[in-house]
Amino acid sequence: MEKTAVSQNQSKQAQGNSKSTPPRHWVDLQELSSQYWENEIEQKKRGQEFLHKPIETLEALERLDTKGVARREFLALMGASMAMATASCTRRPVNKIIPYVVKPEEVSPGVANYYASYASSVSGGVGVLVKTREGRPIKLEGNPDDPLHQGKLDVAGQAAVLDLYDPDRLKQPVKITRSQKGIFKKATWTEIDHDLAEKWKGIVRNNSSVRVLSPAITGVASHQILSEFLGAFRDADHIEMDPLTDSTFLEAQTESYGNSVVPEYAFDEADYVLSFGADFLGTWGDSIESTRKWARNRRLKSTQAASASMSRLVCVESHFSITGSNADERLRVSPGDELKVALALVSLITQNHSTSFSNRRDLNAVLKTYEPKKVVADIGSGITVAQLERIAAELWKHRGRGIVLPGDLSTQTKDSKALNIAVNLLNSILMNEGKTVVGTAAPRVQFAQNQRLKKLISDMKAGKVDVLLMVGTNPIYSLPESSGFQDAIKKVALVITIDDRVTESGWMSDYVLPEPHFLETWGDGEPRKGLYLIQQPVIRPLHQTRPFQESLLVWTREAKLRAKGLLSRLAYSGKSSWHDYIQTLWKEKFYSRYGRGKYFHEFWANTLQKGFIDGRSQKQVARPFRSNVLGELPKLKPKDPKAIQLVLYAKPSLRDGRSANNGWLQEVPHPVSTITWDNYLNMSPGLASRLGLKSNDVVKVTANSTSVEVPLHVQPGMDDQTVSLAVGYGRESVGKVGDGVGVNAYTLAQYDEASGQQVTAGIEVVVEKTGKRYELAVTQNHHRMENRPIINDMTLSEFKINPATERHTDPHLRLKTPSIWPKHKYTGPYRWGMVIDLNSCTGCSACVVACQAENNIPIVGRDRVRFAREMHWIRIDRYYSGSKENPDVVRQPMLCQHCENASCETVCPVLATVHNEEGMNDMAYNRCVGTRYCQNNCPYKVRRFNFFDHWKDYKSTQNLAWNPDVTVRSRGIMEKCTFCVQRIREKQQVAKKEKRLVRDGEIQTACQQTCPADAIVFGNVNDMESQVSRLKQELHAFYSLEILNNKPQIAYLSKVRNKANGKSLNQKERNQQYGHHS
Amino acid sequence: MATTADQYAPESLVEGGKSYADVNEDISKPVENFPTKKWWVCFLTAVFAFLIGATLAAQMFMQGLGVLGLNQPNGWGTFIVTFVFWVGIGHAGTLISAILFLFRQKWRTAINRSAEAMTIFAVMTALLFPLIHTGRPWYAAFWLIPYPNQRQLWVNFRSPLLWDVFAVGTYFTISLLFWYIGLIPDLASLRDRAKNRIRKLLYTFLSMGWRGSNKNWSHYEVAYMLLAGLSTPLVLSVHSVVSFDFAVSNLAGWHTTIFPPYFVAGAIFSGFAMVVTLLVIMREVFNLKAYITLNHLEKMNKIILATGMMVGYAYCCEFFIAWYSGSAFERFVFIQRAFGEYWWAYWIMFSCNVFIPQIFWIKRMRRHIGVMFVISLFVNIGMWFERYVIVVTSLNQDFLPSSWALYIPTWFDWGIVFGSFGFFFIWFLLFVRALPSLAMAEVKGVMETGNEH
Repeated sequence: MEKTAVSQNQSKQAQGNSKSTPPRHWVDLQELSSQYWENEIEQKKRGQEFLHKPIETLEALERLDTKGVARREFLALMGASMAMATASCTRRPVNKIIPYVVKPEEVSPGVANYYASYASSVSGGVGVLVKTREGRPIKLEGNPDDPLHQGKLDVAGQAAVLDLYDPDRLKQPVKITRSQKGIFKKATWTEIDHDLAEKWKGIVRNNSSVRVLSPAITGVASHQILSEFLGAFRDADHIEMDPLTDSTFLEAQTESYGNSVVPEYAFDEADYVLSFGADFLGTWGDSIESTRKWARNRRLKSTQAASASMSRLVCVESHFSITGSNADERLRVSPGDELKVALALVSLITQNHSTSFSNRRDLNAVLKTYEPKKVVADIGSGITVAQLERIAAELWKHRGRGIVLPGDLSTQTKDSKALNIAVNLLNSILMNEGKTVVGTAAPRVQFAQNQRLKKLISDMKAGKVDVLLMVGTNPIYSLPESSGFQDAIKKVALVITIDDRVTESGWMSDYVLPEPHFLETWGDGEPRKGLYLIQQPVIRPLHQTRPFQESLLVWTREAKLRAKGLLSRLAYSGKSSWHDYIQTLWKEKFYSRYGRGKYFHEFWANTLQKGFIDGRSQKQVARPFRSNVLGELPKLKPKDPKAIQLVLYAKPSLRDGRSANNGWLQEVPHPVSTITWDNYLNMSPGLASRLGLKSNDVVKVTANSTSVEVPLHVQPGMDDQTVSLAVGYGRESVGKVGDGVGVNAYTLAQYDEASGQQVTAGIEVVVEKTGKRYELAVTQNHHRMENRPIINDMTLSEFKINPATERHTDPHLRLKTPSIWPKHKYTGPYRWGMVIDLNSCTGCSACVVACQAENNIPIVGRDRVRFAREMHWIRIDRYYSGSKENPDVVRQPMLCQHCENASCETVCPVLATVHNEEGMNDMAYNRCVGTRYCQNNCPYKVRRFNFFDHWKDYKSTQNLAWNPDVTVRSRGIMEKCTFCVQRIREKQQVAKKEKRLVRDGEIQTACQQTCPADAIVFGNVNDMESQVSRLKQELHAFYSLEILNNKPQIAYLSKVRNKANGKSLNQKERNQQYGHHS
Repeated sequence: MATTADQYAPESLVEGGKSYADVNEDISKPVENFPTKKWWVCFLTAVFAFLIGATLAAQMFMQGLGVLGLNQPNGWGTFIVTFVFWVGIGHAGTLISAILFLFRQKWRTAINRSAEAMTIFAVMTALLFPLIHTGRPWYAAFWLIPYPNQRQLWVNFRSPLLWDVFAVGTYFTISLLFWYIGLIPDLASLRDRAKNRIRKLLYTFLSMGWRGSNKNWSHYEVAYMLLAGLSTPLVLSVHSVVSFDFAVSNLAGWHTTIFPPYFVAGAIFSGFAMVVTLLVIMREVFNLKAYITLNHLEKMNKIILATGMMVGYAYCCEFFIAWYSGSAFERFVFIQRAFGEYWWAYWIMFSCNVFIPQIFWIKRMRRHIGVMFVISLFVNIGMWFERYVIVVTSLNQDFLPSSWALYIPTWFDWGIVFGSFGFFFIWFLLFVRALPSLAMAEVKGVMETGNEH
């Protein structure tokens, strides 16, 4: 297309210049004669190349005359095709990247291409769609066809694309001098391969032992290539560790049911969820899937209010988790008390109902010590026997339609296995097993097996490990010193770390080999049994990185290893890339089963387009509970009512700290504390006042002999004997952004010598005041709603009686007066609006980072957050209600409300912010002079001013991450949510081309697209049939601060709590409960 | 003991038995002599202050407004506070020259020249702030002015900021003209006294061919009267419009109908206080005690007392309305003002503006130079804090508690505000050096020597 246009132009020029017209500018008289210009020799002599007619023009002339392929062109093409035909023998194999359905033909500038891929590091493995622009991946979205996640991502998933462009990534292999910290030598891959080939040969010769330490590798191909490689050695083993999960969870699964799997939990079918500290809406398990399914049972329709039903979530926890903040009922206990509550419930259920576990002597002997009365007396934090009895009755009532969840970092005490068993027992008694808890749906997982890790460490200590290969894991950082790993590694002769940077563990290695980002390489995964996802590269590696699987192939070939199976077949054949391996393996494993009637390349292309093969079986079987484990349940151990116990927990942003160098993750406020950038010791207000401490006091926390100094955050809802600290911080070798942010909580974890178990909860600590102060970067300093008409919330019983129940009956807080503002006229077909369901929103903050990625929102840094200058266009406001000991939480995603009577529009002196014909509030960056009057006048304070040129802080590769559809804002101007106007326009253009209107749901804003809870709905309000219009008519829909008559375009659906004793409160009680308390 | 007749006799406006020649001599002297040491000290201090502000401002232009203490809820801070403060100061001049002229208050003649000069320089200083407080002053300087342009961009006439541009712009133009017209006869006197060629040329040019003829005088009187008439409504309008910046918004604490009169009263209050501050210094430095008498100053102090009470009434009224309106937001803001994070600013304001001026009930205090000087300084501080209280306490805790954040001014905020005082005083000191700081012609008109016959 483009080429034709050019040649037409040229032919026009040619016509103009034909017959040797003298030029307009001349230097010599003779140039004016036309003969002069035909004399080529003269021209060459004079070197007048710019006055000279180009060769192309001549060709175009020729073409005009011949009306076919010009002679020269023909020769050129023939020559080129000959060259290509002969050269292709030696070319590297073409690694095909097959695009997804959105725009598969080719890359056209300005149009994004989407590729289906797989992100193994996100929430246990998620199918993703990678948006690329001109070859640059700029945004990750969930693959909408992924049956588990359906297009949803969490915070970490949204931020993963920034890791690709991290300038602190390792750019080539390095050799480390282990004895001297910080000494390293850059090397080439050839050099490394040469070195290592010799070493591998020696290892085979000497029958040395090889150990591989990695996180769980679920991919069929990745797992197989590793085990085939290890097959070349006589003594080799692969140990998987995950520093974020309760290691006893799987042990308990094995002991209770005989298989070591993480069951699939059908939250969408559960009417009752009882969680013992499991933060399944935050970081526990596959939190994206859990959130998505759990939220389904939280949506209410006001038309069927009388018969409305939704699930109830009860949390028993010591730390105030994200899940706990979404709970309908929350029991505050100390670490270790979860087991007491669980067994008290078992005892109540088995006594009151005839179950298969009633009247068992071995069980009753244990349960006798867990009499509810005794348990309540022991826990002593406001839990009553009646409450336990009620919960037991409710559990029984919802048997088969309930879920009981165990085990997170915050419950991983010494007795955590018993808790896990007790929970399994509860699920089995209640017949949830096999219905809402499906153990058979899990894939082969090995996970952190304490015994294996313990053996590895003791082998290393004993000098029995000669080679340690650490792939994408950082045990030096994540194992406590008491595990002995830090000393043991010194005795290993050869340590190789494969990671994207020189981590803390990397400095203890001999070689650190750079691993590509998952967007740069092939891979696969199997997050559920039979669900195979494929990962394809969408950009050429930015640095000299090589996937570890490729290295295994190279080493096998170079060291002539006798590896097993496919690896050796491929390594010694001509085709030997990791891509070949994965393709061949998928061909052998899946093509015959899933690709019937297709050619392989067709099957392969289809699979890449789709991103996965779904071969899950539907059978759900209840696994029989092995009652011999009941003997493992300990008798009640009374707790020390004075001890302060530490629990560790993970934040959904940083998780285990792998991505600590990602500024988006560092800056996203925690959904409960709204603190960014640091970790901090959470403490209940009661305990803090007893110890004479305030928020931002630096305290010294000592566990055994290890201590850290960390700022304190007084967190309502914490147990009075518990303090908690997030892991993932305190990295020392991650990069400029993440180094030295917070403290490493893993150092306080304990290592149980006997079982090899890591203890991350119930660690007895001493908390001392240091007298120092440290200002945490909090985005929300005030937590009361001051009884203002901002959010409407009610109990389910109130909803049933009247879904339009309003919290604010104060006449002064209601809009009554007729508006004097003229109404906007909408003559076009579109008027955009949004509805946000506060009832399903869990506060996970995926929307915050999705918006940041989509809209080029800068990272401002800790200091500027302290100054209240964060730039996020959407924020999650969080308010507490109820008692400060155990408050209820309500959250509100707050973004530009696109008001009809927008306060900002009237006050801007230069018309930089105006209402458009589609009901949106537009911001013309170029026109803005930065008076900030709009910001002052915006009652929702959603406008964000650029105090600095934030983009200047972006270095080298980071600049590739910008979305070219969105202006990068300079300093001195205002910005805010645009409803992702670039996405609206994109789809409108498509629709216009197809001569139709935009369909409902076709346009998805970035926040809506990623929301795992589907709490955000966006669409055309002019279309009465659209989902957004229908939701706006719900009786429990409300507008924030309606009294101001701003007429926001965003409606919220009331928060409804499924309170057990959710009687309707009268106004005075409501005010007491929701308004006047801290 | 003075007799009753003495008590009610018109006060002598010029003391010390000065003749017309003395007036010319006394007032022109500072202009014609080489500046005194005192003047140099003042001038260099002002230049130094200005340079501090200018250096900080230059750095601010280079880095961005982030060097200030502003943040996402607090879009405005000390710059807008200081803008309103200087505009307020600028009120006294026109009030004294125009309104008092129309009311035939003869005592104004001693102070009107310097008060008007103060007005002009205060408005000039004030105008700096709306410009430099914007994110992109290089555009703000001309995009706020409606002029036809090839990009077909226009301004938003609904925005109070635009009204500001017109109101303050008009005020500045009229004040400047008014001041200049009043200067013409005096400039001619200076011309006639000039011994230096350049000086003569300059004053000749500036005095526009004034000959002191009857025709000259009658034109002059008419023009002066007309301009006085024109400026009178401006005295009321400028600060009313400035108050609209706040009153028209929907923010609790800003959104209130009391603002226009309250701002005007406050402006006159602070303007008079500033005039007192300046005159006390000026009569000391240039030995003008015979012309700027205690009687003059006492009258000014009476106005300060009166307007101070008006302002105090407004403070109380706001509280009453906040309670009476039943608006939860309004009530909250006012309770926070007095007892919240910024309680200190509120009580500085209240003490300086309401309590301290009550001293002027006592005649001895009204006529005591030291006391009035200190009080006038307090009033100026108090009025600066009044604007601080209005701007900051309303913004930092507005509708959504989730976005509340404190505003803490930085070095840059304070430094640039400090620099603005330097800027003002540079102009003022240049004025007293280059132009007659008292209206000679008008003073002569009210002298007793002129009334004897």
